[in-house]
Amino acid sequence: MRRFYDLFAEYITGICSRYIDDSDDVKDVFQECMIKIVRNIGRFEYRGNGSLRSWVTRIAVNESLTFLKSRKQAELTALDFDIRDETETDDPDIADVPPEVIHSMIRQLPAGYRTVFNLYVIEGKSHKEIADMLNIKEASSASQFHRAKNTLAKEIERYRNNKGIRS
Amino acid sequence: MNTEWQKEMQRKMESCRKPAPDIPWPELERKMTAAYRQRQAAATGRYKRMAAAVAALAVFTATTVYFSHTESPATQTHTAIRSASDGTTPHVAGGGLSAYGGTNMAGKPAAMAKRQHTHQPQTEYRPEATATTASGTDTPPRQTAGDAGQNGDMPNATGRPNATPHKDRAGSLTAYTPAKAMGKTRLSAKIYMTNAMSGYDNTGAATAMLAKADPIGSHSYSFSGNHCEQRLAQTPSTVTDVHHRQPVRVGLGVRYRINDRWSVESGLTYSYLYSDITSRNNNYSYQTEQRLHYIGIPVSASYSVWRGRHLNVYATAGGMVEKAVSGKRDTRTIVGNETESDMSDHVSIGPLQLSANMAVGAEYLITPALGVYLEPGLSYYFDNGSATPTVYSDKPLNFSLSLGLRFNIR
Repeated sequence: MRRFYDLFAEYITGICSRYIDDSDDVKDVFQECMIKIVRNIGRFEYRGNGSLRSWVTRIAVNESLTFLKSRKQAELTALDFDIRDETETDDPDIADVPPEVIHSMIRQLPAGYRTVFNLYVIEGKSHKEIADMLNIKEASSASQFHRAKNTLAKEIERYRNNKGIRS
Repeated sequence: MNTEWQKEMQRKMESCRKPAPDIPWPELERKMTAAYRQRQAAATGRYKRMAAAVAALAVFTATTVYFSHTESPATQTHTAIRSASDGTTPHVAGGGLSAYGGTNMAGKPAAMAKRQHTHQPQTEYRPEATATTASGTDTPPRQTAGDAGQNGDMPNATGRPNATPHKDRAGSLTAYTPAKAMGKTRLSAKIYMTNAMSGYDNTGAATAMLAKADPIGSHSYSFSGNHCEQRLAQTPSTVTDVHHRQPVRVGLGVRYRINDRWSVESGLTYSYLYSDITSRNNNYSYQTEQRLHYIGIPVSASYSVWRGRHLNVYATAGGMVEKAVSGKRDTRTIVGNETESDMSDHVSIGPLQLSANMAVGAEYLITPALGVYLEPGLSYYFDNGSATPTVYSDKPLNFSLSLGLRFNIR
């Protein structure tokens, strides 16, 4: 177990903290993840390199969502009432932006936007799947994704300007 | 959104690590251990329930089959009366013999009745009693025995009986004698246990080590940049011992007799495979305990070489397809003389395991309904491409010895 902890603790924390902005909450969810992994290790099926990491990722994402739905349901539900059409900006250039910086930017997004962005871009879920997972409308997921991405693009642009990075 | 942009974002986030929350390891370990024990307890409970269900099924099957072939005297009489009233079974009023002579059945029933008279204590398992009772419906059992004694003298007095018992209905009753039951029962079920195959495989060759190394222990090789375990394990001084203990197989089967010689058989088996795998070099060692559970479906054909009153000697050949339904591997890493870590992971073997087997068997019929058999044989397990070391992959050709009970159903 210690070896597993050494290998995965930081990785799991990276995932949880991408969904959850409060450090104490991350701590709770992380602990719950570790317990759930041990409890369900019998269900893990080895399917080649990286399969364990994929399985761990799924658990970490699910636990984070469970937490968000229990604590931040109001923010998630509000997504349905905050639909304003917003055109999607071009994909911001992130080649020169360190992962930690992007991680921090995502974390600063409002809970609802952050969740939709994470699920759509990082986990590769469709808006239909996200709508089902968060109990919101599909249109809300798409709309909030655009807003999240536009907000992120502005932050990235600001970061690049501060660092003097030119496109 | 450009998919390339999405992939780049995914790559960056996947490589992003954050310091783990400040939770004291003993506290976290305690909670994880408690969760692990809960899981084990639940799994053990499942296995116990499964075992209880299988045992109950076996007992129920055995009891049902046994009693379906061991009728009580009252039942026998009732059957005889019913048969007699239906007119389907010839009977002798007042012990007269002419009826037998007139219906081509004089010899056999009389001879059977004589046997019953002289071997009274065995009537419980010797369905001659059924035949005799059937023929003596109108007389009390004791009188029937007496009549039968008289009847039994008749064939000798008149020369050999002119009966052809196997061609008429009454003759079919003789199928209840043990020797006939051995030959006439079409359908039988069996429950058995095979405990075979043991081996010890010890190798210091690096190539052999690599063939067996992947499934051992943690999945750390899955993670880029953490291949140190493998690299260390591949040093020339690394030695791997693979010790496969005797697997245990239990099964249920059904056999259908096509004719006097040939029969086909199929069923369901459960096999438990246990292996100790030790990999060590000068610095440290891994000790792995591997447990695999297989469910299999055997199919075979048997040829009866010799069949006697109680004994049937046969040869059988066939194949089996097995699926590893569950597996677990517990690995302990030992550095110096101290345990550094314990790791438990699930073992999944996707490909089916095919095998061919041939055996000779001897079955002894204890009662018409129940026989015990012993089958020594050889099995060959085909390579299924799995990297997981098993007794099947390391010792494909194995001796096997099966011991079981066979219940003749009908």
